Amino acid sequence: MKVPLLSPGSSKPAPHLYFVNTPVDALLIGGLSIVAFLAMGALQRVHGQQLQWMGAVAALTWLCNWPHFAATSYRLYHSQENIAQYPLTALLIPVVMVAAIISSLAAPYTIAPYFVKLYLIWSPYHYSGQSVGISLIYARRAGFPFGRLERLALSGFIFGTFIAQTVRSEVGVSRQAFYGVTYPSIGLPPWTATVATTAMIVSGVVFLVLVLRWCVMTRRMLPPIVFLPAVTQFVWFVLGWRVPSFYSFVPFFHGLQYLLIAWAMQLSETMAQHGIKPSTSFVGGESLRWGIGILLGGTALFWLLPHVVATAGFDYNLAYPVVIAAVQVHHFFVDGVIWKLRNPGVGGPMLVNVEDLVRRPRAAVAAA
Amino acid sequence: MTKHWLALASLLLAAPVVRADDGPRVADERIVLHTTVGDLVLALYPDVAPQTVEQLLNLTRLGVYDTVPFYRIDPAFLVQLANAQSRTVPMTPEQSAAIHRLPAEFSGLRHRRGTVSIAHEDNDPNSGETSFSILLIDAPHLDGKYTIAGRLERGEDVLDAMSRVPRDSQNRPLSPVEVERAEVMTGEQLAGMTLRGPTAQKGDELPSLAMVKMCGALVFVGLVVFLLAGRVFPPQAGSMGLLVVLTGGFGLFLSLMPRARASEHLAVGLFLGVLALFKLMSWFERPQPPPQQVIRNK
Repeated sequence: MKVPLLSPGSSKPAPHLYFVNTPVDALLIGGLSIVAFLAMGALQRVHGQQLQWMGAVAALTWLCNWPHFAATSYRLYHSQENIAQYPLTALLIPVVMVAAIISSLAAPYTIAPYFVKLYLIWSPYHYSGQSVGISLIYARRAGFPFGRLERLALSGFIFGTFIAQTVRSEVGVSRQAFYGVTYPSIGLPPWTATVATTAMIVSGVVFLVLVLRWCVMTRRMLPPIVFLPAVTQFVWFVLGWRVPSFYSFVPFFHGLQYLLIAWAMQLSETMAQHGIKPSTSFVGGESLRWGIGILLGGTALFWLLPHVVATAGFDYNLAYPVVIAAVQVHHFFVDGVIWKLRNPGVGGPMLVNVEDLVRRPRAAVAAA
Repeated sequence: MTKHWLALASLLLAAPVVRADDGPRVADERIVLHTTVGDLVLALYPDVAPQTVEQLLNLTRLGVYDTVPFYRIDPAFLVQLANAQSRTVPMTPEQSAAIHRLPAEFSGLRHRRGTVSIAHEDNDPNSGETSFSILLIDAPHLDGKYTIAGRLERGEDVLDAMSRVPRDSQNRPLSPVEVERAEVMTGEQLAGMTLRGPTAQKGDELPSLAMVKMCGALVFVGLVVFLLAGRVFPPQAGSMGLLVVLTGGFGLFLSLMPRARASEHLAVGLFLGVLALFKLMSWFERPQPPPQQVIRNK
C-alpha cells in the first residue's frame, strides 16, 4: 500500500515514494540482486565451487542489459527535438566512437587494449553514477533535503565501492582478457587498496551520521529505499567479487534498475507530449511498443553491429569487444547528459508513479 | 613475387642458433610462437623426445599456448613459459583434457643456448606438462635432468630482445610478455612467411616525450576552453573543449600506461586522472533551449 508523503504547508500532494510500489521498486532497484547474491553465495558454499550460469547470464543480457543501452539511444534519438537539445552528444559522439573503433581495429595491440581498458573502468563508474542518481530521486520523493555534504558523503561511499573494487584489480602487474583483447593492469601499489577501502567506509559512516542527525531533528525516519542503491552497490562491488558466478549478473541488475526509471519516464513523457489520458490500456500498449523496440534495438547494437563490422574482414574476437566498448562509451556520454535531475524536464517526470498513469491524478481526484 | 623474395631474404638473414647438422633429426613441423616481442620458431626432436614432441605439437594445434605468459626472464639463464593453466584466456574443456603429464625423456644432448627444455617439478622428473624454457646460455648443470625437446631455430634477435625487458627482483617481467598465438607450420610453409622481428613490446614501449607533451597540451587547452566557455568563448565551445580533453586524455592514458607500471606515483596519478576524465565527461553538454524560448529571450 502506498502512502503519499505530504509536505506540510504545500497545497500540492507530495509525490509518491515509489515508481510502482514497495515490493516492485525494492526488487528492481537492488533487492533482487541482493537475494541473488545470498542464494548464489549459499550454493557456492554447498557445492564448494562456483556454479556456471552462463546460459542464464546470456539470456538476461539479451532481455535486459542490451535493451537498457537501446533505451538510452531511443530516448535521445527518437525525436528531432531531443537531438536538437543535445546536438553534440547525438551527432558528434557517434563519430568519435566510429573513429575509436577504426583506430582499435587498425591497431589491435597498441590502441584496442587501452580503449577496452578505458571502457572497463568507465563502466562501474557509470553504474555508481546511476546508483547515486537513484538515491537522489528517492530522497527527493521522501522529502529528504540533500545538502552538499550529504551528497558528497553518499557519492563518496557509492563511488568508493567501485573504486575499492577497481583498485584491487589494478594492483600489481597482470594481464586480463576481454573476449579477444588482452589488456594490462595499471600497476597500482598495494596501499591504494587500503586507502580506497578506508575512504569508502569513512564516507559511508559520515553519510549515516548526517542522516541520523536529520532524522532526530525532523523526527522522521528516512525510508529504507533511499539506502537501497548504496547497499546494492556495496553488494555488487565489495561483496560480489567473492562469488564470481554472481558477479557476471551485475550488468543485468544494473540494466534492471535503469529500465524501471526509463520505463516510467517513457510513459510519463509520452502521456504529457500527446495529451493522453491515464489508462491501463495506454500503459500496457506503450510498454509493449517501447519494450519490443528496445529489445530489437539492443539486438541490433550488440549482435548485428559487431557481425557487420566483422564481415569487413576483421576477427570477430577483436571486432566484438571493440564495437560493444564503443556502444557502451556512447551510452555513458548520453546518460551523463540526458538524466540531469536539475533539468526540470527530467526531474519533474521522474517523480511519476505508475498509478498516476493508469488513473486520474490524485490532485484532480481530490478536486473533483 | 616481391613477397617471396622478402621471405627468402628473411630466411637467409635469420641466423640459426644451431646449425642444421649440429644435432639430432628435426621434425618437419615447427612450432611458431608469435609473442608480444616477436616471432620464435622452435625446431623439435621427435627421435629424442617422441612423447614430449607429440604433446607439444598437439597442444599447439589446439591453441593451448595462445596467451600463455613468459613468467620468468632471467637474462643470465633462460626465458620460461608459464604453465598453460595460467594463460590469460581460460582453456576450453577440450584443451584442458589434452594436457597429460610427460614422462622424462632424458638424452645425451647438451643444454646450450637456444635449447628448448621441458620444465618439471623439483623432485619429480615425470611431472612435465606444458611449461618449457628456452636457454639463453649454455647450462651443463641441466644435462640429464631435463627433457630436451628441441631448439630455437629462428628468432634469436627476438630472444635477445625478450631478455632485455624490464623485470622485477624475481625476474618476472614488469610488462607482460606472452605468446599471442602459437601455430604448427612445416618448413615449406615457413619459407613463404615473413616472421616478425623483435619489436618493443606491444603497448609497453616507453612513450616518446613528444607524444606525452602533445597530449598534455591537448588536455590543458581543452580544459581552458571548457572553463572559459560562456565567458570568453561561446557556450558550445565547452563541449568541444571536453572533446579535446578526451582525446588528449586517452593519448596520455595510452602513452603513460607502460611507464606507470614502473612508477607507483605515476600509476596512482594515471588512475586518478582517468576518474577525473569520467567526471568531466558527465558535463559534456547542457541541453540547448528550445527554439521558441530562444526567440522569447531575444
